[in-house]
Amino acid sequence: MTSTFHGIETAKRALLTQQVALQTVGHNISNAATEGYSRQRVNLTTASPIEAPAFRNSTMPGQLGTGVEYDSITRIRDSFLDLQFRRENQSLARWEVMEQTFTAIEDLLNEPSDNGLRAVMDKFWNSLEVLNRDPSLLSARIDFLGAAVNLTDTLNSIDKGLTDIVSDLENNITATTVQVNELTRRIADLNALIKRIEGPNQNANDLRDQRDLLVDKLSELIDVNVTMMPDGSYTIMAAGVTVVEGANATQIDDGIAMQATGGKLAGYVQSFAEVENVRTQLNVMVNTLVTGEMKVTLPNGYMTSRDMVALNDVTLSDGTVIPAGQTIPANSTIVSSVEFMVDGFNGLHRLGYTIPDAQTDIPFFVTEDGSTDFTISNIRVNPDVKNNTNMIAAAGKYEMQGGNRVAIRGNGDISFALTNIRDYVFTYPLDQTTLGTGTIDDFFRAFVGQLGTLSNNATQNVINAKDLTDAADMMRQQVSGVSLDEELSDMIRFQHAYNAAARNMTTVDEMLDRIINQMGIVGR
Amino acid sequence: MRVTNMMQNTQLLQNLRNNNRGILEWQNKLATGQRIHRPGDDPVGIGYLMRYNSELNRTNEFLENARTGIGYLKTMDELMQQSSDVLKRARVLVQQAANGTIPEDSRKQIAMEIAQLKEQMVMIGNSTFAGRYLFNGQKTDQPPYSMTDPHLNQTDPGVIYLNVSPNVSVPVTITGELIFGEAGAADNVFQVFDDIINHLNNNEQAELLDDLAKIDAASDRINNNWAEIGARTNRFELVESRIEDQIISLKTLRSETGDVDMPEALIELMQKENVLQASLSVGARIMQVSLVDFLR
Repeated sequence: MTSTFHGIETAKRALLTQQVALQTVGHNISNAATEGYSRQRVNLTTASPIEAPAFRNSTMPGQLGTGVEYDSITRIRDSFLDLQFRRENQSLARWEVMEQTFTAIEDLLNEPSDNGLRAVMDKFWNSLEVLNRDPSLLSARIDFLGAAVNLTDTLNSIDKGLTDIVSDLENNITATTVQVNELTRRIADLNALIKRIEGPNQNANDLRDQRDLLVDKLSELIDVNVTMMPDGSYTIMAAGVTVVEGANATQIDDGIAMQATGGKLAGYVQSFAEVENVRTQLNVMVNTLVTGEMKVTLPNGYMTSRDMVALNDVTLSDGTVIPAGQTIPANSTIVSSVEFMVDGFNGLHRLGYTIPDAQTDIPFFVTEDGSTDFTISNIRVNPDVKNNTNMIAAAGKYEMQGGNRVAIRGNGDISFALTNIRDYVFTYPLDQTTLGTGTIDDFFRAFVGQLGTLSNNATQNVINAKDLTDAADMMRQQVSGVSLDEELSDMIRFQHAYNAAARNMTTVDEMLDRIINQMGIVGR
Repeated sequence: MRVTNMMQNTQLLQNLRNNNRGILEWQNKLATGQRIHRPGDDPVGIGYLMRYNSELNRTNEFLENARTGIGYLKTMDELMQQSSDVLKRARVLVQQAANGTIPEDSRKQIAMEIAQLKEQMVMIGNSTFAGRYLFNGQKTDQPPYSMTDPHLNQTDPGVIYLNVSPNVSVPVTITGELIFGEAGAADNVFQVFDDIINHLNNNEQAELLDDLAKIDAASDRINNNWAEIGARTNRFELVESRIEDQIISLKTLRSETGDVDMPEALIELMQKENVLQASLSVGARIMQVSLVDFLR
C-alpha cells in the first residue's frame, strides 16, 4: 500500500533532479569558450521502485515508480583522442623550433642578396683579377686586400651569428626546463587533490579538465607518456624519466631535458646539431680554400724560394733539365712552364715574393689562435699583409740588384695562379660534407641548397603538424566540446520537465485537498 | 557528426591562417618581384640563381680584362705602324746613300738623320701603356732600352696573361727582343742602325747595299709581330663580343630563375583574396547564428 504523500515525494524528487540538470546546462553554457573544458552530463536514472522483493509483498499489482534521481555528474571525454592530440602537439612544437632555427640561419647567410657571403666571395675573386691586370698598381693591391678583409670579417660575423643562435638555444632549454618543472608540480598537486575528492559517485570533473589541459601544455614542451593509475592519478614519463607519480613531481635539469624526444626541447636539441652542421660545412670550405691541396701551373716559370719538387720536367736558366719528381734546388730560375702541388691559397701565396725586397713564404691568411686548422671563427688576414700592401706576394720572380733581391714589380705570376683557384676542383673530406669534389663556389652553392632543402622540409612539416594537431583537436571538440544549440535544447527539455513536475505536485496537492477538506462532510 | 561552437571557431581560424599565409607569400613575391627570398623558397633554384649572379659578376671582370688587353694591343699596333714607318724611311735613305752619285758629305748628313731614326726607334721601344713599359716583359716599371747601348739591352722574357673565361688566358705582351732582335745579335735593329751610321760615316758604299737586306729582315720581323698583335686583338675582340652576348643570356636565365611571373602572381593573389573574403563572410554569418536567436 502506498503512502498518501507518495505523489508529493515523487514530484519533489523530479523538481530537485531537473534543477541539478538545469544547473549543469548552465555550467556548460558558461564554459562554452573555456580552454580544455569538457562538457558535463547529469546521468538521470529512475529511482528504485517502492516494492523491493522481500518477505512480505503487497498484494497490489504493478511496480509503482518513485520518480527520478541522478547517480553522477560525469564529463564526456575520450582519452584516446587526448593521446593523439598530445602526440601531434609534440611534433608540431618540435618542428616549429626547427623552422625558427633554419630561418635564423637563412637570415644569417642572407642568400640570395647582394651582400651575402656569395657576393663577398665574388668580390674577393674579382679583386684577384684586378690585381692580376696590374700587380704593381697600388689601388689594385688595396682593392684586393679590402676584399680579403671583408671576406674574413663576413666569415667571422657568420661565426658570431651561429654562436648567438647556439646560446639562444641554450637559454631556451633552461627556460623551457623551468616551465616543465612548474607544470609537473601543478599536475602532481592536482593528482593529490583529485584523489582526495573522488570516491563513490564523486567525479572531480573540472579538476580533471585542468589536469588534462596542463598535460596538453606539457606536451608542447617535452615528450609525454601518460599512464592513468587505478586511483585516478596520472603517472607521466618524459625524456626517459618519471616526472610525475601520484602527488610527487621529480624536477628535471638541463641534462635530462637534452634527452627529450618531442616538444620544444627536442627541437632545441636537434637545432644544436643543425647549427653545428652548418659550422662544420663552412669550416671545411674555409680550410679547403686556405690549405686544401691543389695543383698550380706557372706558365712563365718561377724562381724557387726553397728546394722544391715539380710535377713536370722543368728547364733552368742555365739549360739544365730537372725531371719531374726530382728536387729543384733553392734559388734556381725555372724558365719553362712549371707545375707544383701546393696547400691551398696560403700555399700558393707562400711561393710568391713581396715588393720591393722579395720576401717569401708569407702566409696570406692566419689563424687568430695559432691553430693549423682554419675555421670561420679564427681566420684572419695576416696582419703583416694587412698593414702593408707590399706584402701581397703577387710576383713569382726577383732579380739581384747590388747584392739585394728585388722582386719584379710587374710580375703577376702568383696573382695569375691565384685567380685560377676559383676554378680548381678541390676534394673535401667526405665524413664532414655532402659534396665530395668541386670548386669553392660549387661547395657553397651546394651547402646553401642543402640548407634550403632542410628549411623547406621544416616549413612543410610545421604546416602538416599544425593541420594534424588541429584535426586531433577538432575530434576532441567533437566529443567534449560544448554545443550551445544542444545545451539550449536540453535546457528547454529540463525546463519543461521541471514545470511539469511542479504541475504534478499541484495536482497531488489538489487531490489531497479534496480528501481532507471535501470528503466525509455528508449532512453537515 | 557532432558540431560544437569551438569546432567552428577552430575551423575558421585554421582556414583564415592558411589563406593569409598564401596571401602573404604572393604579396611578398609581387612587392619585390623576386621569386626566391630565402634558400627554403626553392632549394634547387637558389643554386642556379647564385651561380648566375656569380657568373655575371665574374663576366664583368673578364670583360674588363678583355678591354685592358685590347687597349694594350691597340697601342702596340700603333707602335708597330710607327716602327714600320721608321724602317721604311731608313730604307729610302740608305737606298739613296747606296747610290754611287751621292757625295760623301751628303752621306754624313744622311747618317745624322739615321741617328735620329734610331733614337725614334728607342723611344718606340720604351713606350708605355697606362704607365707600364710595353716591351720589357714583366718588368713593367723599368724602361727596356737605354739611349747609349740599346743593342745590348736584354728585355725581360716574362709574359703577362689575362683571363678571358674560366681557365682560358691569353698572352698580352710581346717582349722587346722578339720585336727588335736579340741583344747583341747582328740583326738587332739598333745594331743595324749603328752599322748603317758607321758605314755612312766611313763612306762604305758596298756595305750599305748589304744593310738594305738587313733593314728588310728587321722590317719582316716587325711585320710578323704586327700580325701576331693583330691576331691577338681579334681574339680579344671576339671574346669581348662573346662576353657581351653571354651577359645578356645570363641575365635572361637569372630572370627566368629568380623573377616572379607577374601575371601568374597577380592571378594567384586575386584568387587567394577571393577565398579569404569568402571564408571571412561565411565565418561571420555562420558564427552569429544559434538557437538563442530563435527562442523567445
